[in-house]
Amino acid sequence: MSTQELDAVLADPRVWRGRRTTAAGASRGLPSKMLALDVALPEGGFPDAALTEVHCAIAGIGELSLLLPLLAARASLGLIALIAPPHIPYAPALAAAGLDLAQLLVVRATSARECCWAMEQSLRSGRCGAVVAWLDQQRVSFAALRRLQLAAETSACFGVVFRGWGERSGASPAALKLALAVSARPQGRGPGTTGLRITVLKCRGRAGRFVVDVSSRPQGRDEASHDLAAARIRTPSGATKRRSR
Amino acid sequence: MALARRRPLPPASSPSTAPRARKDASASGRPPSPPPLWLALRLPVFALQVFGPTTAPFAVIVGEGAQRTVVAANAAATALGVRAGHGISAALALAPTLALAPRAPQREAASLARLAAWSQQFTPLVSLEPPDALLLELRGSLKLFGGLAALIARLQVALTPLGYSAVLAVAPTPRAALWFARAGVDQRLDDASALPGALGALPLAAIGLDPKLVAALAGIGVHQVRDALRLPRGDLGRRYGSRLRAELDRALGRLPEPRTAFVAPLRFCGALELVYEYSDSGSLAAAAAHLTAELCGSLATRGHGVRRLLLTLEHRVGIEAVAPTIVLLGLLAPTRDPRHLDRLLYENLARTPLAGPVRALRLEALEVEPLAAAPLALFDARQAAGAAVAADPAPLIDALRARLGPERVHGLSCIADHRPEYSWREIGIRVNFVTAEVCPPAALAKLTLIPISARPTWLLAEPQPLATLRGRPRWRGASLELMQGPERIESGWWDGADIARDYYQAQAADGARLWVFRTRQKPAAWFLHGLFA
Repeated sequence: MSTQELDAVLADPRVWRGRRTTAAGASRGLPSKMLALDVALPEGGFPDAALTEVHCAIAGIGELSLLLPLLAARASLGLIALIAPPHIPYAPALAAAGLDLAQLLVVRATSARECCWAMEQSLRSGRCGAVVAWLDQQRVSFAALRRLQLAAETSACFGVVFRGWGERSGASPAALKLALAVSARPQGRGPGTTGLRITVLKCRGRAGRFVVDVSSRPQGRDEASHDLAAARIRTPSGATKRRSR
Repeated sequence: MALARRRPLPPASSPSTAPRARKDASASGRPPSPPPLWLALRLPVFALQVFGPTTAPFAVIVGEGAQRTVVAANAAATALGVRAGHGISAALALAPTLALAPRAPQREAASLARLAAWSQQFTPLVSLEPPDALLLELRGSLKLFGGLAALIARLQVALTPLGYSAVLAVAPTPRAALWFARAGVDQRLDDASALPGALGALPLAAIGLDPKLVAALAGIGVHQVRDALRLPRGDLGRRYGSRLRAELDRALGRLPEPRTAFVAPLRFCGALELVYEYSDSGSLAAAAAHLTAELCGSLATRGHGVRRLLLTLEHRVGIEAVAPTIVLLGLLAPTRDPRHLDRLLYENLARTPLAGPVRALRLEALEVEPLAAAPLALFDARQAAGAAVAADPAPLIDALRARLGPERVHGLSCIADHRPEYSWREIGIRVNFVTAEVCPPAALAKLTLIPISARPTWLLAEPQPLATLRGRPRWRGASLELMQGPERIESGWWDGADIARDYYQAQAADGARLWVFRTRQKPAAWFLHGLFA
């Protein structure tokens, strides 16, 4: 096998190399614009061409806002499909977040089967920049999630599923698995300062679970350096260490 | 299909008239027109296959009462020993479960016309040869399709989904092509001088002549076309009528044979009567696939795509008559891709409750639009963009709408209105600048001028009343902490849906951020209207 052929094989999204360095992986990840999270994730952001699973403790803690900057960026690549959203996705707020509404596709599916089918179709169509589905009200089997993960891999699409809080400890085929909760110590009092605690339950390229605290507001570039300094990453042992690039 | 459709119909000129035509052409200074080339497409078991796909033993019969005889039997019946020509009692003795249907000449004529419309994607000049053959003039299409072999290969591939088995024969005259096809010879003859030799080997019994005439000729030892050609022309005419002589002359090109060109109807309407009653969507979709293949062929002929399709499923008639089930299929963008249509029909059928078992299908194209052939990209578009590129999303949206229902797949748009409930709406998805409803860009531009503070990402469909304790709103058993506000929204007096509210961003004890409001009417009440998800 020549080097070129090997490169072609390794470039395939279905091939995952365990000991990928952060620098090489950074080009693969999709930055969330939350610098603390991007620094902590080995690929430099959400994994492209894969499924991300999000477990949210309670609704209304900024779980969708966490994705909005990324979705806004992905809208230039195709449709942004929102499948079975629990409430009305409020167009003025999405537009204010920079999302091109002309690229938005809302699918109101009810049963788990319909949701999974619609998500798989959207992932496989090659017409979507990102597919987000809310499966927190339904019971979804491991096999169904595995199908979605395969669909995301083979058609190189970014997919997110929101699942119930109670299912966060189960096995999952997703490339990244996050649990979102309110930070125990809010980073200040006043509007918009609610802390969001992201527990990374599983991610490719890094073993063990770890916790990232971010503000639930996505930062602009001017605030990024400050945020980087404040980013604290705790390892399971409880030792706190500061990270910088 | 960019065929030279405007070309005048070539006369079926024969070699004997060709030199004269050539002389005329050279006199007027124009190059001679090439001699025509005819393809005969014959469907040997057409009487059977017009009934659609059959799996259980099935045969088509003619005649009345005890005189009924089998004309065609499907594979399952043939396996049990039923053959064409068997009497009905013999056939039923061989296969007791044999389903029978009388031959349907009207249906055969309609199916042949649809097949002719379909085959016009290969050549503009198609002529019907009832009951079971078509004649296609191919000379003008050879260059476009890259030669005779390539054209025939394409024709055969395209024929497969229609569900017909066909014999294809090519010859310089239409009569000769038809004779080869009737005799079951896969002839590919482009040379007029080789015609007498090739025709000579055909048995007279197999080329569709009057059986009495064939028997009379066999009586004098004339069995093949070659033998008939050897007889003196004058005697042949006197003894067996001028008809046989004329037929032979036409086949050899000594006499011209003018053919009537088939003109396809403007609107496609295909019907398929099923042999068995179907009530599962999979079988129905498979049966409908034959009609969509014909539809797409006739659309390709005109360079059209279909926007709206009507599939009518007919149920039992008579005493237990049930009104037909109607499946209306609307597409976002015109298409003539049979696979896309089949998939949409399948999903629609799976979603549609049937009023009863289905006996017949009818497919009509309600709206067609010009659809140019898609230009091929010079470079792979996906490669050029480096990632999933914004391809035409219409197939995905059509598929989602077919399965879930059109009302459950939509886009979103902003409306320039201060009232939160009215500042958004569902819209159709924009595709190729064609859309049912579009929020005009001017309205979007105006919206950006309305200064708004933070808005929640989730809006509740109906504001949810909140309990209060000492005038403060409560949520999940704990008081809410008002973080930001009030933002007063008082608007809408002109359309009767006026509101007067003070909106606040509030933080719940569990950390959720909510968008709540207090009505300004007395007594004041608190409502939850959104979530900052």
